[in-house]
Amino acid sequence: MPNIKSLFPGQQENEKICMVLRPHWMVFFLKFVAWLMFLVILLGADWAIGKYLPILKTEPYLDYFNLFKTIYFMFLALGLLIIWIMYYLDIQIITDQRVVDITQGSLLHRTISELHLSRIEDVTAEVNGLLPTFLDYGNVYIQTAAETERFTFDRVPSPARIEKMILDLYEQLPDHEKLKSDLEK
Amino acid sequence: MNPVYQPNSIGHSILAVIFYLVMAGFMLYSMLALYALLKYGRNTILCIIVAIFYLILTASLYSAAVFNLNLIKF
Repeated sequence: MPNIKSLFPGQQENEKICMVLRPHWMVFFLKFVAWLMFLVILLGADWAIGKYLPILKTEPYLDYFNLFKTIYFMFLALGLLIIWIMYYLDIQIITDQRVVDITQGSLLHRTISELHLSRIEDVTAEVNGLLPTFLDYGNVYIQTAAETERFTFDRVPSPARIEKMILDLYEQLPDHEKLKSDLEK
Repeated sequence: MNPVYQPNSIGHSILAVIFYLVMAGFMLYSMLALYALLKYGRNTILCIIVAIFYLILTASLYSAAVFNLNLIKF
């Protein structure tokens, strides 16, 4: 059971959380593979220097090389931490009253957008590409009553299920709520 | 315990200044990352565990880096 008090700012007491989403794990994994490449570069360089430039493995060059390696490892650790934080803090919440999209653009850039269900006009699920098709993840676009505004859930798991859930929640809204949004149109 | 760093030449001093500037940048960015994690993370216990693990790891690497810096002779 999620801690509903701390999920997002402005949450109502009687608001029921229906779904809490993060981007699909493959999104994190692809970034992790890119991170791994940097680790492989270092290990590869270490091996290549030992084989082709053994002079760099002797004093006094060895001390410089060891210092560089240690600093490189520190930045690798920082890189992995940031990749994970960006993934962990990117979150989408669907409640029985609205959808909330919390996007962590960078460490100091956080966007919280919310949309009341009554303002939804159209919901589209998009699965595009080989990996998304096999692993069932993709984008969910929510078109709002406003002319150009479009909500996007980026690379979330089971987009079709999410699309259906949002439409079902819209259908469950009281008639006067739906009527209000129709009048606004 | 690493010995206190004592630059004994201008080359050593320049290297030490560059090293500690890089470390300051690293520390600043690390603190920003941990601040964002602890402020916005939903699962406090998980965030604290990750932060402690990261601090232990980087403290060890920093210690190794200072040791390697001290080994450099001009």
